[in-house]
Amino acid sequence: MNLKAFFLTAVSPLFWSVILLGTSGCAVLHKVQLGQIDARDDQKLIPFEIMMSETGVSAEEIGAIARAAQTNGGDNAGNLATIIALFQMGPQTGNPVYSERYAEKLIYALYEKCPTGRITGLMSIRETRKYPVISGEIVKVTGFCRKTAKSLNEGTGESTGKSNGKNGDT
Amino acid sequence: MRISDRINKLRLFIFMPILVLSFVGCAHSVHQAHVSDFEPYAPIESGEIVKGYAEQFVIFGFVGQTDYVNQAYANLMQACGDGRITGITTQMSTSLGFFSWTNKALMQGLCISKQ
Repeated sequence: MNLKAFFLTAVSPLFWSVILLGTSGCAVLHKVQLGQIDARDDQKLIPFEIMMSETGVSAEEIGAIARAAQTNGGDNAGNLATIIALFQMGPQTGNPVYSERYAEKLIYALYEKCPTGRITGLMSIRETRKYPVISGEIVKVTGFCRKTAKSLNEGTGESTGKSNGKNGDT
Repeated sequence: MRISDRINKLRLFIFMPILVLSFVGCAHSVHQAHVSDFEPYAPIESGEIVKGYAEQFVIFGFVGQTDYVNQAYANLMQACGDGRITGITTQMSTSLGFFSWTNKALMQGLCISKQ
């Protein structure tokens, strides 16, 4: 590439648009919900975080970018994206994803983080990390696992107060 | 019409439906995933994971089943009989479609049976 061509590329709005879009990203918060907080000092609270995500795709943005290219192929791709968007009607939170099951194993993930089930201070977050065309559709849960000092020393998830399913809070 | 134009047209007619079909009917949106309290505290071995699921089909904005969340809730209760359910996760999602969509409610929890 000679100097003139390089200069022309560098000053073209399309080039800068692509750079700007490619390097930008924002987080969008959709919902937050809190649960009961049990912070009594008989047990230690060990924080944990679970994040489950799936890639979202915006057909509308694909169409807009393709049309911005102002070529024959771009127009065709734009029309195609419009047709795809027609098949994605309905209420949406973030961008559509191609698997709805990404957050289904949340309960198992919680018990994996805290096998005793002594979970408290849960915060359920539904958010989107937005990038051009694609996005990360995220389900995040943060909380605390209540553990006794003994179980912490042993390095196990077990606590001294046995939870056998019959008892309530110990 | 030139041969190259014909090929382009043919490409459009062959690939466009394939591309559209590959994106159609499989787009979803997860609206929320909520986790309830874990009271009473219990390890996963002390019970079994139960599910309650129901859906609502919407076409042109007209809904058929307005009690689908209640139904999912009832299904979850039924799955646990007279036990206690703890750590309930509620996932609300929508499967998107052509002028129609399906709202879904999925509830899961740990059923601790009376013993």
